[in-house]
Amino acid sequence: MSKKRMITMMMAALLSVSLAACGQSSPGPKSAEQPQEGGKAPTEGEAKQTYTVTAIDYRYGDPPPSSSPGLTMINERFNVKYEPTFVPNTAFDEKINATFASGKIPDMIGLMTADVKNRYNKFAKQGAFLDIEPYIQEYPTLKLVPDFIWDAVRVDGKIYAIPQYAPKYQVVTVIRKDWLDKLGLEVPTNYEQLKEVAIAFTNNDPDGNGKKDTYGLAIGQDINPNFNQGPYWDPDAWYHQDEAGNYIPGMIGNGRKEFITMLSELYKAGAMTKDYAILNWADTNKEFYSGKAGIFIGTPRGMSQEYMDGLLAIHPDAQFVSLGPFKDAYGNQGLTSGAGFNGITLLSAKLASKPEKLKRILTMIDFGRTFYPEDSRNESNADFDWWSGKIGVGYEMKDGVPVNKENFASDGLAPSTYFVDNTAWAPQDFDNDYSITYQTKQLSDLVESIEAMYKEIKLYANPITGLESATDNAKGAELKKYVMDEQVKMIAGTRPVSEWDQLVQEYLSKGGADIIAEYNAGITEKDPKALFK
Amino acid sequence: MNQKSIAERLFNSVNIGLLLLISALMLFPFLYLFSVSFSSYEDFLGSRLLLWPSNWTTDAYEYIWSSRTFRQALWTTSLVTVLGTLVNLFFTSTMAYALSRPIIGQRSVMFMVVFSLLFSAGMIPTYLVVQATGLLDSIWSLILPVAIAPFNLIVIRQFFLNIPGEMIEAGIVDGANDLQIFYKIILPLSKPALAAFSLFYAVTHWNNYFAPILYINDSSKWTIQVVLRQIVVVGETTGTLGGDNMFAAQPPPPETIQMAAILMATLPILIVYPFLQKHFAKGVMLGAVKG
Amino acid sequence: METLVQGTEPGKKPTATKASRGKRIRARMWKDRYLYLLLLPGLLYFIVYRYVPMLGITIAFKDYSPFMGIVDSPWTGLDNFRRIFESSEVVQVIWNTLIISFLQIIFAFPAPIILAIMLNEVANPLLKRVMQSVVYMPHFLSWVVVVGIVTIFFRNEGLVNDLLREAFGAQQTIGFLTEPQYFRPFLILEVIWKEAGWGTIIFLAALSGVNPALYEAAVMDGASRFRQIWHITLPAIRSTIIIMLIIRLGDVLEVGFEQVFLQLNAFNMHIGNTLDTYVYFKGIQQSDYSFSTAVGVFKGLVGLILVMGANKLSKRFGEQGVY
Repeated sequence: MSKKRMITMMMAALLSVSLAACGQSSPGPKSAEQPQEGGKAPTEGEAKQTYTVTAIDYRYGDPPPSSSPGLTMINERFNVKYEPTFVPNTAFDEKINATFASGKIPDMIGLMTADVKNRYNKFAKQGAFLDIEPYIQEYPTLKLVPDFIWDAVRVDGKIYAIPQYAPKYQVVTVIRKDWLDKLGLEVPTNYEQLKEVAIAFTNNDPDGNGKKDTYGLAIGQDINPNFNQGPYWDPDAWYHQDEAGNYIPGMIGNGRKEFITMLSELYKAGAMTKDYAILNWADTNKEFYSGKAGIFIGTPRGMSQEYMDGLLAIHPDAQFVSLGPFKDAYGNQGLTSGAGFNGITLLSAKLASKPEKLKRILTMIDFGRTFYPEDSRNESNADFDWWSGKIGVGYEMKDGVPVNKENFASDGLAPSTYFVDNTAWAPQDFDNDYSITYQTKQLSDLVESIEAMYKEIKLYANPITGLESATDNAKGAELKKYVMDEQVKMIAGTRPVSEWDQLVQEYLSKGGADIIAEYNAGITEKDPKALFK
Repeated sequence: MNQKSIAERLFNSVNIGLLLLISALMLFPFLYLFSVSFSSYEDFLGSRLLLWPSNWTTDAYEYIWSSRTFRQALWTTSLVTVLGTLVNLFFTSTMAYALSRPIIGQRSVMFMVVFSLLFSAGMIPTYLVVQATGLLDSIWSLILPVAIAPFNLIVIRQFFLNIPGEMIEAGIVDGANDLQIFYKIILPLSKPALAAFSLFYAVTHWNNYFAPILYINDSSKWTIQVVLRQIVVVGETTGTLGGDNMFAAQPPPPETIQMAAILMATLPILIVYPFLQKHFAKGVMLGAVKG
Repeated sequence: METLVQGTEPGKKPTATKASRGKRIRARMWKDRYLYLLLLPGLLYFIVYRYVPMLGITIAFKDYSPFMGIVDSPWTGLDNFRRIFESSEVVQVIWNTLIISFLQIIFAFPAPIILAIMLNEVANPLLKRVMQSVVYMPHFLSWVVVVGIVTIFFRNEGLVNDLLREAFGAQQTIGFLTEPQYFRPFLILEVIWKEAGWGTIIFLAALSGVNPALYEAAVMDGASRFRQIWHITLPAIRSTIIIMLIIRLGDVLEVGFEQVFLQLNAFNMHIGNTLDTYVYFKGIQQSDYSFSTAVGVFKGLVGLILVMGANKLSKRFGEQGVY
């Protein structure tokens, strides 16, 4: 099976060499390499050459070792000398800054989504990265990427980044079902009801321990999470329109005003995290998972089993319910679609002069993104088995599901650990059944219900996706921070919510008006209703 | 049998009383770190303030110690600290001594030193020079580019300046050259100062976080601060503003493990101090003339 | 001793002809050849790792693109410096920075001196050593940890507020971390807590050099402890204090990015946004190398002016100065 695969890939590689050679304006690199090949068939000679492939990427937690079985497997399979540098995510900004500053970048670079608007955009314009577009059709996992996602990473019309897969799911509000039941409350379908639930959780002792030690919403720094149950309330969605019919950011929209007003009431009632202005994300999670707060968020991919185990250890009877989208004032109902990717892979522009090496790298990337349907995630699929470090060594099968060994990542047991992009690109979001990846019933039931909900609802496509605004690139983050901070003050009452319109004016005059104009110039669909799909 | 005056006794008890209070304030958070690190996570969650573990457990420490990265980092950091401090002492004391003598050009070199204290070239140009001198990804990149801290140089020179001129005179009379004077007279006289500065340098090396991030690629050469930060800060960075990274990361390790990591990363350098301390205490007649 | 005095100002001898002066200088340098040998390693270090990189400061006057290199990046003149000052906010930001900085110089700078003197007065050597070892410990915690601990203790639902409520019956929660009036005191207290003990080392090392006979003589004369401190202890560390102060002035626009950054929130932003955090929000994250270098140059210039001024002043008052 794997041999067959290799052959197909080599065919693809061969094909693309000739394509690339034809397309090249300067024949320089090609002619330079020809003499080396001598009389042999070109592909054979090139396939034999071992290329040194460098990469830089970030990792959460312990990095894999720099020599390991997994790395050896990669080197053998792809006939490369693979030298990845893994930087702790907490230090990635500094490291990548220095790496770019030196002007000498590795062959492959992994960046976070947050970098798309600044670093990626900036250095792509300086010609640091390779244009990927000519190769998309040659690699199955690149071909799978829908156009709207490619568009999201275009710079001056060109694609310099390979998006890494993430489902289009966002997060939805999750409530302690056992608390609702205890107090005889219904699952809320609008913010008014949600507010009542939060206040009841605070005053009516939902955990029945006789102490007033619970409350409603767990919320932390930067008003995170934003508990949006539809684009109407989503600060990041461009959904509301001004009088001229231009889309405006949700951050200054009516839904946000409603939400901030609600929070200011909850704050007064003590029904949300009192320290919301200073708690970081980890501590915000703890408010919910320690059984203090009864309302938080959930999503199919990436929920934490550890957190859940912690909660279930204290409250074994905890039950959860997730909320569907709320009906908004325009009569629409749906959730904002996620970007559909998380993180990007870039290639050095210098690879353009080494087509053979480039093929090798793209082959590696393509392999790392290959999706295995659930029934072939086991040792009978040779590729999957190799990818996961071989059965018995890197993983075991438990109840038909592959489970990684404990030292899987820390000892670098499997090749998968070392790929810059090691997330399989699923043809459809529903092809991933995330609920089976969790080990406790409560968590997998919750995730299953969210997944089921997503199958039913409509997703709103954010109209600014893929568009560029120079003003937003230059000062968008700073401006957003300003508005966010003012809204934080409004929740505590330091600035009255009645000054909302004034805040909107401040946003507009500090550059927001330009951002709105620049984005709207590129939006063709003027009816937000049509953007629900 | 000098009888101490009441004022004298009052002074002493107030002074010691205040110092004990200050010490307690400084120690308190460490006690907290200590107790949490030896408690189980359930105990930690269950109590508001843990000042003594109710059920002792070393789980957190075992977990940290089982991390290959952590052990490697401790080793690398120790190596860098020892080597680096030796290099520092050599470079700093030689230059400081030369500059404490009235040689021609002394003032301009001193100005050069002070200037570099205020104007650092910045991260990127320094990175390029480190790259050009071939130190990238080697532990020497953590040592040579910081061979002299201008501040330390200035203060050590000050100590040398305070050494009475007669000491040097005496050496000259005995026919010693400047190298011999430096080695046989100045260095032994400056032991307390050098002890203090080796501590300064050692601690700087131990706490160095930024340079390893920039110059070291191979994770087996990471230093302890890089690893520690990854354990402690990981919860800070996710989930702000962007939103889409909110769930991409694993949750940070439980507090018990974080606190154990902090203590384990701090202990080795903390115990250096008592060893050097005895040198501070050994008073050397220095600066006495000025007093 | 005579050579030393004569040597300090070699050019002042009016009768010396040029040739003989040159000869004398060469002779003196030859005589000091071993000193120059000692100077050499350090000098090389400064040139290679401190001054060669300074050529890179040119990127403050350019729009640096790493993929073009320093030389080929286009010149932009003073644009990057103009950007620092383009917004009216910046006046406020520099003002915030200076206030915090001066509060630190007034309150945090003397803390280690006082602590060192107090420790120096402890007669029992064991007690002294134990207390020394304890007070310097906080230095080893990074700001992330310190701020984390402060947050645990002082947040609205933290221990201090619980204590105030339960033990003292306080009705209202005190927003230590969110109410702006607490922001600066907390910054200063944290710095004192973390660094005061560590800062004593340098003064204690200086004090270890004081001749015990001086104290004995003072006791004989019946001088009180405060008089001893005033007349013996303080003069012994005076030159160290002055040098530390001069150097501290050079960092006047530097107030510890991480400490401030970690404690900024919506409520204290207007008084807590300092030059470093301002630059960070403005776009350090965006890899704008030229801009961050320009800010560094600006800070360096301000520091340089202050240090040169203070150094001159110190010399006028008969102190040694830094250089």
